[in-house]
Amino acid sequence: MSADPIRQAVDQLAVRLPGHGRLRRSILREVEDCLRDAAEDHLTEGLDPHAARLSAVRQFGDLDDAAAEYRIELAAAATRHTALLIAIGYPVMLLPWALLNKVFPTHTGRSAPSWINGSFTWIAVTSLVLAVALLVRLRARARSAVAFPTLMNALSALGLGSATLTGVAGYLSSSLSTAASPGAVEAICELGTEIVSALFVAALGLSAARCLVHRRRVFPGAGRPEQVT
Amino acid sequence: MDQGSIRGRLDAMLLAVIEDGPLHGYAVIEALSARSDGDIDLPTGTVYPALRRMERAGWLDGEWSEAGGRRRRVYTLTDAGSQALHQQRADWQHFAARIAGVLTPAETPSPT
Repeated sequence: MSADPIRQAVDQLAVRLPGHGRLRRSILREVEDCLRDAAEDHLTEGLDPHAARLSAVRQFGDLDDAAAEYRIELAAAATRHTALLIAIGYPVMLLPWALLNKVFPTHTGRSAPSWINGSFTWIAVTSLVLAVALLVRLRARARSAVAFPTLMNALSALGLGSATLTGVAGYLSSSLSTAASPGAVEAICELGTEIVSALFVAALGLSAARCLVHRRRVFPGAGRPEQVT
Repeated sequence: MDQGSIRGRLDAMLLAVIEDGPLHGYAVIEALSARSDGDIDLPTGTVYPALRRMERAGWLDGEWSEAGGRRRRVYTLTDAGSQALHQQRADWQHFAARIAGVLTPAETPSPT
């Protein structure tokens, strides 16, 4: 560990913040920049460089308090990521299937029963509407400085539920589809579309699970809203 | 000055100092101190997370910029932030007027 008090403080804050994402890096960079600004200020007041840095770190206050506030922002980012993945991912996943059915009209004929194909649309629309509603609620919570463990639970459940239902519907669609072998081009397009769908379902499941992990770290045992400030 | 009371109004004060123009994190703290004649001296570690939360709320727009060889995250008040500040000012003035009304000694009627 470096002897620079500012570097030490930033390193200690980093240990207290989970993950390796862009927001975390941005937070740590901002804290270091501001501590260096404060140290420069103390330097002009006549302190020696080391004392100026120490003073800036003391002025920052309790690292645990700051880390607790920042963990809430990291949790909010994980929640927003899952909601956006649902809101953007489902249309992106369904579009290639719609194109496939358009370009290869026979594809629809070979497919599974229509209720299974219809279920994709229902899952997508329901998940999308709920995700947008939760996104709006998340922003409102930031405005009233109220924490959001219930919101995170809801979004984790939505993400995991949607991913599971989509996966099951995909499996049924594939196993119940009838027949005649497609041409080579159609088979390649279908395989590509299936890969895109599988990647989306996996990404959604992982994102929702990460959201749940953040919830447990930031609001352990919480189901009730709590005041942040 | 009581830090607990200050924290209850932290959002409004931060929005107010950024209303004058975009500021980076440490400049926000300097402006807060200058506008309170040094009476408001919060731990800086309470201010930076609050700026991030207000950015999430859509009240501030935070962007990295570079000046004098230093990268800094600069915050600008958004339209929603301006409306929130207007509302919080009105709330504060209403609150302060009511408290003043209670704390001001009642005028005793002069004996006639």
